[in-house]
Amino acid sequence: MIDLIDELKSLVTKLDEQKIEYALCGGLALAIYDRARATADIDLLVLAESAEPIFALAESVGYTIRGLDMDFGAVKIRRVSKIDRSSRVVLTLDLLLVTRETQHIWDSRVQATWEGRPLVVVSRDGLIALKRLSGRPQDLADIGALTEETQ
Amino acid sequence: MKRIGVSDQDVSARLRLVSELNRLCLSLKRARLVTERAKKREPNVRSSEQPDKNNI
Repeated sequence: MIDLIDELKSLVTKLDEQKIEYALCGGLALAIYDRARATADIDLLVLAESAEPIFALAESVGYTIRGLDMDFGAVKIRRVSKIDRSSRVVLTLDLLLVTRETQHIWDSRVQATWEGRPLVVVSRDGLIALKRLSGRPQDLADIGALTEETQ
Repeated sequence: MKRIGVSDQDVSARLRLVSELNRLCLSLKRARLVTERAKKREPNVRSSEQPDKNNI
């Protein structure tokens, strides 16, 4: 069965090879801040000009199904997915483009080490700010979990 | 760029936990699907049993 973490590893390796900057956000960043939940997405905060190079890179590892562009004011998402034929699981790579409103989240990204390699992640405060901007029920629940830990 | 303040081991363990949660969720979804299909099939199963009963 396709594994989200293996997928993340593969994508991050390619991003590092091509020196494309990113910051992990979404459910996987939430897990790093010790609030793990199931997620089918890899969410990356990226500079707008990096979106197309990342799509090209993602295509080389099977992400070929482009979603519609989603613009929710401050949050602009570009989506591409792949389907694992054996398990029929859909994996999605969401690129959240850095906008004027999310620039401070990009600027405050932090570096982790994962199995000896660098992994760039949005900061805890940045993750909360991003989820506040998104404002979906899952995001609000995630904010609750993140702020609960800091209290 | 600042460091995150979470160790390499913790990052690895927490990401592995997401993999495990995803596997569990998928298993639950499949189990639910099997149950739903079985419920839908139930009337057919009963009708196919009918001839046997008539034979008795």
